[in-house]
Amino acid sequence: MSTDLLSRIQVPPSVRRGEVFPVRVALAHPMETGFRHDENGRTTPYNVVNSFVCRYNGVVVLASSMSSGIAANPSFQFYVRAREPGELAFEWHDDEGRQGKASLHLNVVG
Amino acid sequence: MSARIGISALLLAACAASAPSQELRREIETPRSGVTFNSADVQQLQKDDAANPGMLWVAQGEALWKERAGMSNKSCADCHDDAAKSMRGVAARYPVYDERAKNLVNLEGRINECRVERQKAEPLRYESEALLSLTAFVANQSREMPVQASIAGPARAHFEAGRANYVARQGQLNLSCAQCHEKNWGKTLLAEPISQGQSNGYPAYRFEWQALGSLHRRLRACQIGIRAEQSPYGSQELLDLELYLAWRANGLPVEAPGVRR
Amino acid sequence: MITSFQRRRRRLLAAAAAAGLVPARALRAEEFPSIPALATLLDKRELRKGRVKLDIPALADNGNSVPLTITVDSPMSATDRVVAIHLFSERNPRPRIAAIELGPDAGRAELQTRIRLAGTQHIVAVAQMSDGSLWGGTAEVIVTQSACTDEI
Repeated sequence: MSTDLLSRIQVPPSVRRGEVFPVRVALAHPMETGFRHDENGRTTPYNVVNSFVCRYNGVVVLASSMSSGIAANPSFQFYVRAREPGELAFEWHDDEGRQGKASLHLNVVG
Repeated sequence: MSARIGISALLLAACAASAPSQELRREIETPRSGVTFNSADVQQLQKDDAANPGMLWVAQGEALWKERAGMSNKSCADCHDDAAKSMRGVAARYPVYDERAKNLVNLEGRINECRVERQKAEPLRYESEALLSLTAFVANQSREMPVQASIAGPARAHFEAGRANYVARQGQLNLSCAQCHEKNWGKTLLAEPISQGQSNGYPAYRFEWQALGSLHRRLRACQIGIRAEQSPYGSQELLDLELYLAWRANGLPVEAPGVRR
Repeated sequence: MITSFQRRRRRLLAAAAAAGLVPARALRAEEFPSIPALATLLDKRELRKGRVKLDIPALADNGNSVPLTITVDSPMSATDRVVAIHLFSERNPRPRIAAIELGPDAGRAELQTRIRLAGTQHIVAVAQMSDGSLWGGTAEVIVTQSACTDEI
């Protein structure tokens, strides 16, 4: 399980070749809508994780572009079909240009 | 005057010594955690570490635990080693009466005391990412353990002050905490069920906040709800209330990080 | 004869509908809510109703975080699969919630996430198939104001 500061990503410890398995992702990000204002009327600028990509040994499994309609501290669950063992690489950016990266080894048997 | 106070102190001590006593009986005999007044989705989210957004703060706290800070250049781990062992049970019995401070100390206060006195670092502000993360991480080490706050000895006076605050009508709406959370829990306010106002779920990730927040933040939110003046973070009123609430919640499992709507 | 009470009630309902507080009329089974961003995506192509299931609570705990599972009925084979899912909101200030492309290793056309909903409304999910066809599903969620909000 990857638990670096900006994300928590979970895949099963091992999967069979051909098995469809879930990938669970949680990212730390306020997904700022730009509509929130403080008591002085100042708004915080719009800033969301606008893109999230998962690659399986370099091949894109899922590429999502998002707006503030996704909840703060976004979470996703999606499904991957296992082929050969290797790496699931995750990459995401926000509107301020901050980038997040994570990668997990995928243990495939059979 | 002092004779009267002396006699009532004796009576109080006598009541404290005998258990269970009429005076110390809880209004709610079998408390229910706030999570049970939330939907199945919220309950599921709280149980699921991979999805519970509060765990993002716990993970951050785990990293901060090992980070050197202040002039001492020491980390929490340097003194307290493995938090899973050294911090287990701590949140379950907090807030505690501290002899040196001659006052109650809650988790945030204890963390800051360590930072200032031992790490020789700046104290952390309430609701700062750092303090929330460390509090969530430390409290998480007591997860599932029953809340067991003591109101014995010098803590008793603070407990009484907290209880007095809890039952007093206040704010523009002239409501006491007890009116909603002891007399009307389970009933619906607008579209939401009123909980018993138990504190065992804090710090908690609230959808309303879109972030993790402390118990003091939640209590201040209640104060807005009844249009009362907000007590400052870490103030005596909130500390005393925190002890009263912990006593009320005795027996309920620590849930940190909780999830609430 | 229409009484003054009935007239006043009709005026109130019309005003409420104009303010977006009640749907002007219920959607028919084959209809999708009218969302300009959706129309832009469709670009005059047909949106067929079916194959797309939206699992979302009828009453949200809090509009800030509403759980959603989108499931599309598809074999997800090399020749017959979902290539993209688009998610729209009827009433949010930004109607396009997300656009998700699925690669060949996506084993199931099923996604779970949590969305923000600014008030009671419909959401629409559009599945773009490998054969170019577009299938859609819609669901309505009631979102209420929090009873004890500390929002300033």
